Amino acid sequence: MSDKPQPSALLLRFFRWFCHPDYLEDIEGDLWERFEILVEDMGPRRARRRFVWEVLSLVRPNLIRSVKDLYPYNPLPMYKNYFKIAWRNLLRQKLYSFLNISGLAVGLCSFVLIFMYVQHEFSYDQFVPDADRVYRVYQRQEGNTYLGSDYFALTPAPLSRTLIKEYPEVETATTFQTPKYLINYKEVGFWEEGLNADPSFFEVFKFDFIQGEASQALQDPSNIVITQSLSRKIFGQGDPIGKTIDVKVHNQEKRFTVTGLIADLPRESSLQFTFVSSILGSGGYKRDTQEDSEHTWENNSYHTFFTLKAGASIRQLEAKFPALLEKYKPKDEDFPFNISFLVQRLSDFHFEAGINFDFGLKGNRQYIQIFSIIALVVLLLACINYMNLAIARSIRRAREVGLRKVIGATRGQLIGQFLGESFLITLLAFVLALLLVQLVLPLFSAMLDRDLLIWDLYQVRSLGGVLLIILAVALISGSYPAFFMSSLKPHVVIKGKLGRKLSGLGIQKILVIAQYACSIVLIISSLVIYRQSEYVQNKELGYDREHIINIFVQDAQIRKKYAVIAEEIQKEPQVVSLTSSDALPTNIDSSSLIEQGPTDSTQKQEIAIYRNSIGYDFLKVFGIKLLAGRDFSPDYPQDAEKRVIVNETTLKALGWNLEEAVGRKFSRYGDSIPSTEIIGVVQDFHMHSLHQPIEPLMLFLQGDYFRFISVKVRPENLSQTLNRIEAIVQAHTVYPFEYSFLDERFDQLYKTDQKLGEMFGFFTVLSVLIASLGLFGLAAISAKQRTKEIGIRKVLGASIESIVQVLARDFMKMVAWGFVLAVPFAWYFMHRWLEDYAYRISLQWWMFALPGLMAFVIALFTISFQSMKAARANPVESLRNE
Amino acid sequence: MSKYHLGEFEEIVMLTVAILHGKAYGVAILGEIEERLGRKVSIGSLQTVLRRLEDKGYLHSEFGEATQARGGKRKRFFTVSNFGMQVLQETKEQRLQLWNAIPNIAFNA
Repeated sequence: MSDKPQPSALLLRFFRWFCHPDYLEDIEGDLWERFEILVEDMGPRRARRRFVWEVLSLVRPNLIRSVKDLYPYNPLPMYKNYFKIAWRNLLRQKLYSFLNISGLAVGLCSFVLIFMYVQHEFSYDQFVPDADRVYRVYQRQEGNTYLGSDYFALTPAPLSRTLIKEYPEVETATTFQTPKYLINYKEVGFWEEGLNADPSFFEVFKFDFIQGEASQALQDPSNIVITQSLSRKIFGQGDPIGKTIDVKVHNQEKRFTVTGLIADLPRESSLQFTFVSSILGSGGYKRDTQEDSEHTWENNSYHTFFTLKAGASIRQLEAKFPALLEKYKPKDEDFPFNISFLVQRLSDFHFEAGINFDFGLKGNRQYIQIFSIIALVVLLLACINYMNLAIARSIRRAREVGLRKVIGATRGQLIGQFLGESFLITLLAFVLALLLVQLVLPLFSAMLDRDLLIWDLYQVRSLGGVLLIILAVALISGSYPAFFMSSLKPHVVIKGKLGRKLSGLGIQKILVIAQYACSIVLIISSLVIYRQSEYVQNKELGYDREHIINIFVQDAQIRKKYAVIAEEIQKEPQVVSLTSSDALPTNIDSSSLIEQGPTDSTQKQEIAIYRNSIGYDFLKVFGIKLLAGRDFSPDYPQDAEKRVIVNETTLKALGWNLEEAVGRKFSRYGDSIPSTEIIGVVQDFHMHSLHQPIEPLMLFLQGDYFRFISVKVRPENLSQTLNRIEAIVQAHTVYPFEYSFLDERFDQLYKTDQKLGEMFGFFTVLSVLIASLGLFGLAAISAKQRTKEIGIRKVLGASIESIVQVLARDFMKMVAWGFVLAVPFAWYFMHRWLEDYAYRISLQWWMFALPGLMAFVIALFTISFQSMKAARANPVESLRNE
Repeated sequence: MSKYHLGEFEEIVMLTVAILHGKAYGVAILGEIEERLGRKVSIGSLQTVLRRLEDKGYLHSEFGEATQARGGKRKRFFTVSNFGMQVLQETKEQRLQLWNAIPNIAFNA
């Protein structure tokens, strides 16, 4: 038969697809017969061609399938049924549904929160047009440490012009300062923070102008561009263009004319301002950009941003900076630090903390990583919950599965059904999670120092991610139950042979153990982090941190006039005492070497020693305790030469006693004979963060060079005192007044740790909550499954206690296993974390035992409710059914 | 007007089914029409009409035995129902009436 020509299989398949099933058989037969006739009549080739036409002629309204019949069966009623059954199950087992949904909701909530946080962090500055080509220049002054960092955001004023003029890679560049103006408009005065920028500002930051012309907006010294909110504040609904604004800056009156109006800056902007005024009118800027002045490159008080030409290499540009510095900023004897210019892309701007005098909120990549991991763990815990409860309940559903299979459901359909159910539940949980998010978002935002809004979540770009989460959670949590349930054998299930074996206790146990292990790790971690930060907060540092104002000195003028300034400040009624120093006690980081042992011996050893040059009263201002000898004093004019005060650790390193130390001399590296005399010994104090140990230290009486003036003040009228001190200092310098309080700086050293602790606590509570929910559900199910067993035990004389014990034992074993698993992990992580601190709490047994006990108690409490109920039940109730 | 209306092709198909008397299935009907009237008809147009007539109740159909030929597919044999016969009859009479009403002059002219 095979040599006989056949009609085209493709055409036949097409025909079978479109033809109404009732007519299919006989018409297909006709087609075959017709084809044979055609072949006889006109040969196979023409017959085939003719056949195409025949098949096509059958495409007629009354011969084709109806759309409804296009698929083998109509699944809609089945879906309705699935939905109905799912819904009934939810309603019938209210407790489990509640546990399931709320557990998932909590997990989803924490995930969504962190999702929002991460997304927010990465959205910073992305709105700026051409953000990937915008860079800023900052500098490193090697060794000139301020606030724990020797990086500075500020650069000299002529830098931006030079970049435009001499570097072809640079498209355009701008320079600006971030002043605060006191705005007087019709006798109303208020402070506004803004920018004082050169005319090319809006070429680098191409913000849209609502009114006005960007290229002309800052050309004149009296020009100012304002945001809509400032415009509304000053002019109401009126048109601001051409109107004038009077401001007060550094006690000078200025009048600006509004030349542009721009939209308010979004939250995700590092730059936050309400106005941009032209810097051309600033006296300081004029002086700092004078062509013939030799000081133009000395005053670092301007931010410099530039746009790289498309396609240019930023590395190549950066490589040219040493030459630029060489050309314009020759070595300065007064300034011993090595300077280098560095660039930073605008998209990294938000993540680089630790640059002095920078602006904008800063993020932390490490945080993002840690929190993301935690979010995933918590979400996973919630998924495990779902799986566990679903498996446990499978007994109830097993008959349904059996029946469906008997009626003809395929495995695929059943899997679809259960996955669909988990999708439904995830969706419900997600709605609940959104409500939760709304509730805790303010708390969460405050903890993170961010202004997160629920609205962020409903943005189009977020929705995709959110949908993906729902889908993933539904799949993860639904997959095991779905595959498990669909594998049930109908003949076993329908007979009712559903021992406890069926409920998949093996995997259930593992899941519960994993849950508890995670929770216990989190509890231990929060406890350790909390203890450590408490330890840090309360640690005696060896110096005072309260009410000390530190003024950062950049201007050599101030150093020259220190005596005058000090006298003026001292006269202020609220000032207790003041001093000057190269470094503050929070962070002393220049060091040198001294020698230990007899000078002539080969046993000589070098000791690294930190050094700080200080003024008179340094010990008094910072409350550093003198153990022996005396402080520097104007009464001893020789103090400035080769006389030092050392700390206890130095003596230990030298191997000297406290009693014999004063008056003794030691050699500094390279000295031929010991010539540096100790005149006093101070108690050890923490001159770095507690991440580092206390090292030897020597204090010199300073020469003319210092970087800080520290003023101890009385706590009353603090802001007034601060203003008066500022006025005194500002009278002697054009540099901006930079100050900080010592305790603020101290807190800054540990802010990261503190936040980490808070966040850990938050998520620990969540994870424990989820684990408890799951355990509660499992306990309830297990109690129900064992109703008959309990009844029989009771009839045979078991006491309530013994029954509770029997019921609880299994679960407590799982918690115990979880604990056993958790301890090594927690120990490892916390050990690693604490290693970062030189001064730290030691990990003690109770830090593991207590969380373990907590987990135990919580678990026991969770279980006992159900167990008691089961144990108390009258055995008649449970046994009479048979 | 009669309440039944048969199209020209419908009438031919019904008549052919009647002629074939019990042996009327798709290809046979096609062959018969082609032979007697010299008219080429596609399976599509024939089947459409057959099903329509069956829906109206003019035709009955049933499956025959399965055979090796025709790709193993059974034939569907059509027969004219009593009702169908009645309709055919009526149509024929209508035609006759019309024929009879033509004045003789028309032929003679």
